[in-house]
Amino acid sequence: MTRVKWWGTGLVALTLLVLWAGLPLLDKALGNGGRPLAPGTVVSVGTERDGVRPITLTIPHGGWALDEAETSLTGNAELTSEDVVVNLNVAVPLAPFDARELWDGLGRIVALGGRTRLGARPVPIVTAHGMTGLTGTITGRDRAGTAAVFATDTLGATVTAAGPPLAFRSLAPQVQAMVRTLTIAAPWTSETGP
Amino acid sequence: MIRRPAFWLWAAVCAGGAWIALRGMDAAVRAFPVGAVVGGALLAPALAAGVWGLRRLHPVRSHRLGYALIAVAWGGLAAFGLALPANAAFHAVIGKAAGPDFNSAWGAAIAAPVDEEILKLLGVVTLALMAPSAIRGPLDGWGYGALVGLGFQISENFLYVLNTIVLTGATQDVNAALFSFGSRVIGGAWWSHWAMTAIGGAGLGCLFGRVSRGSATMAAAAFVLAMALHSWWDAPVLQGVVLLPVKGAPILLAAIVAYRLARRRYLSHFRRTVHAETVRGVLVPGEGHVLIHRKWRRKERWDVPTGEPRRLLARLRAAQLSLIEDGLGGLERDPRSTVRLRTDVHDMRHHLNSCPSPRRVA
Repeated sequence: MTRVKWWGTGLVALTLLVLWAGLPLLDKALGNGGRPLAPGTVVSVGTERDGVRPITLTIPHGGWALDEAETSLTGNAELTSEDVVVNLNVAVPLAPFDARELWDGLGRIVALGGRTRLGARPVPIVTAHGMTGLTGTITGRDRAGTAAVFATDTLGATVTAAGPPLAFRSLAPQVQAMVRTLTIAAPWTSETGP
Repeated sequence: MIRRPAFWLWAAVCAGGAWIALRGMDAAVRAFPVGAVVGGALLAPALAAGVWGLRRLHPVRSHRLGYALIAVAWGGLAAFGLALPANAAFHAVIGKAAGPDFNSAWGAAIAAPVDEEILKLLGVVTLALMAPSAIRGPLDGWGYGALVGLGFQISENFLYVLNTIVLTGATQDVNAALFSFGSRVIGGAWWSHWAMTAIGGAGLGCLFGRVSRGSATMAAAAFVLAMALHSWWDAPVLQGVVLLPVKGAPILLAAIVAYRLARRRYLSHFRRTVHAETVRGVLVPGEGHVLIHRKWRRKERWDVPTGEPRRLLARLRAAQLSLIEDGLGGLERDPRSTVRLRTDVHDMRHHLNSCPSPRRVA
């Protein structure tokens, strides 16, 4: 007869504690995980096909870092500079969508965090490569920012940038320039205007 | 059961896991109510069908509903809830150590098998500590492991419903819920968490049945196999919907082989014990054939008057099955239980035969 009533339970509790607290502690010990990006660096997200990810964004200025802990290149990339956070996300439609639908959907996603809201009246934006999307403001308590969406028949991209009002205001031109470099590569491109 | 510390650990971890999961998904559920309701409505019957099917896979008597629900609750609340921060932290560690490219390709194949298989298997361990008679061999381990995995799978599928809504840009909530259910349940449930944890659970069942070097090796091998299969499933190879059955087949096959081996071992013990107890006079010749089939046990009750005689017959059969299974082993097995069960069987048979207009069970 093996008596395991107490030490067996203790062992289970210890293992749970290691997984629940140990890994987050290790993550914390490794620091913030920001990888500095040189101006001109191209960040690509989306499912890789033939070694290429379909959505790209170019970093136009220095001072930006890729948050490796919060980035999963198949779905999103998180860029930070000072206290401003830029999120580039992939949107995969199950049926064709347009930029207006994507803007409304992004509004619901942004509101999830409870700290910020998306402006109701977006305006058209044209990227350096001629792709048209929608852009508008992000507002919240002690937060300011901007968002943009781009939709094709088969793929969409959303960009949100937000931070403390002062920090965001100083970086807003850089964010706007970054958004204008966005591309959605063929064969996904079949643009649907706003 | 509630006097055992493992019960309170189970209750606390389930509550903690549920709180973490609720905190993580609450905002999304509120933001996408229609998709969440559709996803929940589709997954609830899948959970019920899964519990029913996995309990029925026991060849002689279904796993007890109470233990089955304890296992499902661990998988769906405790393991799932704790896996959320553990996986996020593990992914972050991999991302920082090996970079985002490696993380997006291999992160899931490294983090998920370690975190999730350990967390799920702890459910089988906890159940064995709460109710040592629940897991007496590989077949019990397989069954309860599968139930823990099923609970985890259903909770994870619900999370994927919400994730799919976000992935589609929150533009097609209902379509996203249907797509997620179709791909992950109809298309992918056959070789998912239930199968991996069933394999690991079968190994643990060997160990809990009889503690020996051989059974410990078996438990370790089954655990490593479960993790390897999980890693194989998450690895960036054979991607694409068409190839999913090819990728899932080894997992399903391993679970089926583990089940067949565990079942064969159980039935062989069953027949051996029936023979021994028949020779000893505890069972009467032919009784083993009735005991081994649910259908025959059910049918024989029709010949017995309702009320006390029928209840006594049901108790007699339950005691006989417990006597047969007692020899399988288990944690903290009481060495006097065999003698006690033999006495119970003798007494119940005597009472049954002395009932007015009884059916002779001897």
